[in-house]
Amino acid sequence: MTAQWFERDQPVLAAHGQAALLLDLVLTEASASHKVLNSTGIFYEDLVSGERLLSADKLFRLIRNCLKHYSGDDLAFRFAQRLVLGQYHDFGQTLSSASNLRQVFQLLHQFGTTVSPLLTPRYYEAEGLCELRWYPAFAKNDTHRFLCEAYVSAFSQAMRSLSGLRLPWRFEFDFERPASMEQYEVNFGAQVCFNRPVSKMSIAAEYAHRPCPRGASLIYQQGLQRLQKQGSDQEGFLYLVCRLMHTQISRDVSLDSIAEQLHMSSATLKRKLKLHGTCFRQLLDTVRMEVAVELVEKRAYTNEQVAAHLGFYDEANFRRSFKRWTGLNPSQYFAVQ
Amino acid sequence: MSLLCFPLLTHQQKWLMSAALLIFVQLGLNSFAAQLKPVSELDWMDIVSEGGTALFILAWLYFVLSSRPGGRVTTLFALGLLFLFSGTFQDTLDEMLQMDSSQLPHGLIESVTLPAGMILLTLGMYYWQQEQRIVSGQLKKREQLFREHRNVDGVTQIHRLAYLKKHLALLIRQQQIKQQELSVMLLDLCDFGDINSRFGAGEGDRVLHAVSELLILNLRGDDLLCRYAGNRFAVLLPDTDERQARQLAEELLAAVAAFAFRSRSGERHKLHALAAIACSSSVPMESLLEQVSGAMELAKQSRTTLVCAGSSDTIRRLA
Repeated sequence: MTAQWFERDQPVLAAHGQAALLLDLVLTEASASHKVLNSTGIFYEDLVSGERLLSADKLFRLIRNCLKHYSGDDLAFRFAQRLVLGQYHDFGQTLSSASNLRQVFQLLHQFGTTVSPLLTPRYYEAEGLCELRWYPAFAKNDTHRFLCEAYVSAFSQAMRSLSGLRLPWRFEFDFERPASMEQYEVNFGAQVCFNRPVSKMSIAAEYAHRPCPRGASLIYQQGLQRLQKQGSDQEGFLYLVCRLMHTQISRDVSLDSIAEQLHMSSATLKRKLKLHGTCFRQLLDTVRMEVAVELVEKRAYTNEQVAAHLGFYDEANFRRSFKRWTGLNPSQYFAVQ
Repeated sequence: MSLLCFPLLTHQQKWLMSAALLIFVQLGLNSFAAQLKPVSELDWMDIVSEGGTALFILAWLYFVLSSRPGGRVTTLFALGLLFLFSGTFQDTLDEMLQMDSSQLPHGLIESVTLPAGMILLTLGMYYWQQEQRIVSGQLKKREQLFREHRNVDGVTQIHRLAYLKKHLALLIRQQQIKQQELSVMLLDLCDFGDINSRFGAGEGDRVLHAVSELLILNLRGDDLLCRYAGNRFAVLLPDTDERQARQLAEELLAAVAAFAFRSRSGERHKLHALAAIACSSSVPMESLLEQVSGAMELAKQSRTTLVCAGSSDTIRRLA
């Protein structure tokens, strides 16, 4: 059985196009490519030939170097403008023939990692709201904000041009409000908030059904089948662990139960998590926080109900944990939001 | 002299070649006239300090040449520095060579090159100051009270918003004394994503650059244009009331609408823009930027071409 996931240092990502794009942008300012590629383990020739696969680690290092050598605060947004999604053969073709936004969401949900390997898009629909959530494939690092800005803005632009509509998105980001907001105002509009448990873009479900002017459902279906035949879309290892936790959050989630589902021993899982710079408890906390916030905001759960749902011993225990996750009591946190 | 010898080189290369030639000639002249001092007589402190000065002057020459285009000022600077270099270089050589002080290179070089270099450099400074006044005039709408090259945006070559913020803070301090009104305008190019997806983001960058030039042509001498972010520009309008700001906004919008952008492939693309203004008569100075960006959000949502913060009447809705 082949693994359903990819590791941080595993060269599996065919992301040359994006790496080259980013490098070209930064080279308009920096003097030489070797400075930007320094210690990334990527060679300029590899990007030109486009044959060698890259690992997540190499991409992280490239993004980090690019941010360092670029003077403005708009690198992610300029990168997103240049990210022509149509160039991703089957994915791009299928995307541009989607008949409505729901098909776009579903395509991203299933095959999003081909375009966005480091930030996994997931689609949820509930209570008249469509949500596209963006989960880090690996441990969140200093490139996380760049990734969120780039892919969220690239896909909101793509959906704007596919639908021909000015879409009233609401954007949430799982990092702090940046010091200057101008880039966000121009690229995302006024409906933006920060310090949320997960980065996401949401929109009223009615927009998901509006027909796209250039939609072609036969081409879409064919494209989808081709993509399915190409095999399962691999997930980043940490994202996979989080997803498994998410599905069984109201039951007993333990290191053993997750390890069993991944067909490895608890010790191996523990070691792997450590290699990724995290631990079981830390991951579980991020998942619990996301679920807790959702239950309170969307389903109006009381603290007691949330505590019971997440398997806390009592409410006081839950409140203490919540304070540890967010720095705020549940009541303070939801008052701010 | 050497300028004529290398007609195909750039002016930087010509001057650097001249410097190299000068060193050779000077070494040559000295080698005829003198011989090395014994090591025991050498004053190392003097050699290091004078040789160091000569090296620094060479470095200055390099910086001047690499940062300036050719022309009268550059020529004067380069000649002046070469003469100064020759003088200090001769000083260094004197420290190392034993020679009869009546002999030619020593006396001539010492007494002629240093003053000549000083005169040429001063003359260069004089013309440079005149030149700077003209350059500042050209730059005025992009740069007002101070110069900060790290804040210049790479795409449009105008300053980023951080510069406007600093400038605004300075103006607010002045304005409180002078009791004048002050306005801020935002200008947003519509459907910019379409330009990017139709022509490519490289063309999008060209549009932004062209529009920033266009806006500069249409602004007054004291106005300051900066790039807000993405396809949005910000203009600081000192000593401007709401009526004037509105008029100026209308003019800029008309200029953008009349502008014929041509892509590299020759396709014509029509542009249009939205504007928002905030004036210190109706909005507190400290929140001008915040208010004007709120007004811009309103303009975008309602597709209104011009929205004024703090006033209820907006102008002209788009169809």
